[in-house]
Amino acid sequence: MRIRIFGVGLLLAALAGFVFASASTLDFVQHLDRQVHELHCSFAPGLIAADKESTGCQITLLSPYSSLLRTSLWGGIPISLPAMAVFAFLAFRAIELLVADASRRRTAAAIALATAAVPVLASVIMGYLAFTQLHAVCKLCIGIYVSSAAALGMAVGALRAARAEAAAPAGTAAPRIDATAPTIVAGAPAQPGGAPRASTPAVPTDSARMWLAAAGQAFAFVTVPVVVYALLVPDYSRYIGTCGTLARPDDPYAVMVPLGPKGDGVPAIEVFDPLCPSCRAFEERLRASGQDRQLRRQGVMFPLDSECNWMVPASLHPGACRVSKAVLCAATVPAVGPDAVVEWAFEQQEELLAAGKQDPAGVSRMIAARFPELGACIGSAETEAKLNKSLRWAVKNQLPVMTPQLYVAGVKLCDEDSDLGMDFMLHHMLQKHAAGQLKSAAPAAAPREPGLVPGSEAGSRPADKATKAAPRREPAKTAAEADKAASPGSGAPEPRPAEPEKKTPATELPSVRDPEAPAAGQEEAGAP
Amino acid sequence: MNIAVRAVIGLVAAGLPLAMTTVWVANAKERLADIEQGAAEKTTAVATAAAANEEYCTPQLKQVLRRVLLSCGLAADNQARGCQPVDAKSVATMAGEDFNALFLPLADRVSIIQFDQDDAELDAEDIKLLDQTFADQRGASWFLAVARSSPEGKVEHNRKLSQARADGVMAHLRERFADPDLDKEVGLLWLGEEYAQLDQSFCDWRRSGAKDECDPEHINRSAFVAWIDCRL
Repeated sequence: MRIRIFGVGLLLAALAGFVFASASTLDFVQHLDRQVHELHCSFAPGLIAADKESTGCQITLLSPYSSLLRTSLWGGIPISLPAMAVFAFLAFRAIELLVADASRRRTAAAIALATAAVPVLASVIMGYLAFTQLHAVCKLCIGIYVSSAAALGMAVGALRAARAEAAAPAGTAAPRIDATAPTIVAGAPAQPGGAPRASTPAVPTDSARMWLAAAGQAFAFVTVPVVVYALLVPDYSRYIGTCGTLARPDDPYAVMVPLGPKGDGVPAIEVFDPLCPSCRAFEERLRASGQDRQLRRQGVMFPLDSECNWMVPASLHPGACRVSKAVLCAATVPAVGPDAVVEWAFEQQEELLAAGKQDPAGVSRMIAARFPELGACIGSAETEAKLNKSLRWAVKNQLPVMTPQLYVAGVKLCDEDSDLGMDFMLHHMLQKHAAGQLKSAAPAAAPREPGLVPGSEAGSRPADKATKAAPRREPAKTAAEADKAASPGSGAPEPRPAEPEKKTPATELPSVRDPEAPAAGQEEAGAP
Repeated sequence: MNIAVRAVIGLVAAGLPLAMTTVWVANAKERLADIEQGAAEKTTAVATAAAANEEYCTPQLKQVLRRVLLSCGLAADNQARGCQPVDAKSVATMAGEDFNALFLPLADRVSIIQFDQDDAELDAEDIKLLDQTFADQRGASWFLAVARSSPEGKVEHNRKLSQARADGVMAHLRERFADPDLDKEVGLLWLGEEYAQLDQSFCDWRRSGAKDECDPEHINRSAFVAWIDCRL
């Protein structure tokens, strides 16, 4: 009777683990459409809606530990997929345990215990990574950890019950099977009193066959869905080069700062904001992938802060202009270097953003306290002009107003591929570059010069309405993005409750005043 | 339990993750295809980086700006040429007061660099204000320096003096800011004493002169500098 209780408990734990792993897999797989989706971040996925503060699940989902083979497959194989299979197998083994006759129960329980050890081991490893590397708690993951632990407990209980049953008085003992090894004696008559007899030389037995069958089943349970998944995932390499290229990758204003490892890597330009959580998350992913060592990155500051950036109607990251100036200044002070400031800004991002929201001067004080050697430079007119030129570089290249953006040899890494698909896309972009085949399928935007030179047609261009008069495109979205920016780890996509929408998961996209089409003939065309 | 039943249970258990994942991937592929078909429509939703174009950019202001920039050929050969009073009068085709009124909405963008009498040298205070003003470009595409002189002295002399003041501003910017776009961005006008003299209403504007130095002759010994946040 006890073994049945433990068997039922094992089945329930396995089913619970299966539900959590399935929800996690669904969260992962639905991102294969390269869009933003709501996550099932709750302890009752599907029954309780994910709370708004589901950043733990987002961080975990987007982390390099959420999947395997990320450079071979867009997003890689989600860890939760084999977890699903293991829990399904465990549920199957629990049923086997429940229906096994007395002679097989001990082996069935041992197999269940061995199976239950797998998710426990995986949970220990993933939990360690979550707490030490990601500093994030994911509700679905916790569900899996608890289910795994419960399954292990039930399996241990079942095995002990089975052993006790095997040690029952003579006459009730079944042909004895040593559950701890696949080569056992079969059919050996029980000694009086049910005491085990010394084993005879091992021969393939029912127990061995059960172990072998279970191993084969486990292999099939896990391998088949993983292989089928790998075969079903579309080929995303066709998106390489479809998101544009830089019209003017040169740096006439000398505003670019070296970022990350220096070496013979492929030249890349990263447009970023040091107070942008998405930029921080992107940097973490890039470092974790190791692909930063294959790039020779130059950073272009693009703070989404209206203090210096006229393209954002309201500051998404107040204080970012001041930190950006510190980065520019650090590039001129070899003892500091831009990486040190960027790293510090990413580490202190929440504090800097909080200070910036209260009073941007607070950000300046924090910078001055940490990098006193940059003080004179940060306040200079040259640095202010340089930051402005950095923004104007974005205007010349007609970049989208968002961060981060990465251009590898001038070709843009699509925003949709900057989180789960980053490893895959970047890997393939680098391969194409090595083969001399990296190019953009989309034409570069014509470089935007100051709109008028003698003899140009710019003067006859229809007039734009004043940008301040233009309506904001998505004011609600701006507010959402601002919230997102203030939350930790928001390199993850903003959960959307409704239909998937055009994705800016790893980027920040403020609502920007966009010129409206002017009325024809609004002003005089051309020069006199 | 019958082995066939157990086999069925095993197949169901094994097939469940496979079937679920297959369906999810298929759904994602379907959405991907849908999005791809409508991609062109969606990509336009992302705002593009652009220069500023503020409300004060009236057609009249743009017209003057365009005419100054084109007529004076500033961007033509990297030489800082400018509009003389006669050019300014012809390009503006308006009374001096109306010309000055165009700049009233730019009050927070304008600085008035005041010079000493019969002098075109920038002192430390002038330089500080000029640097601050030029560094505060924001989204502006054009920087105008409109130099004047007070009416004392001969017209021709004052014309040359105001030109020297405009050139002095340009020379300083060239030296201080290594800006490759300088010749395309900066427009110079020198008006001498002949056109669009400033009145005392400009005394409250940001300027480098002493507080008590704001008689008409003081404020017209100046270069009126401003970034113009207009797209042409």
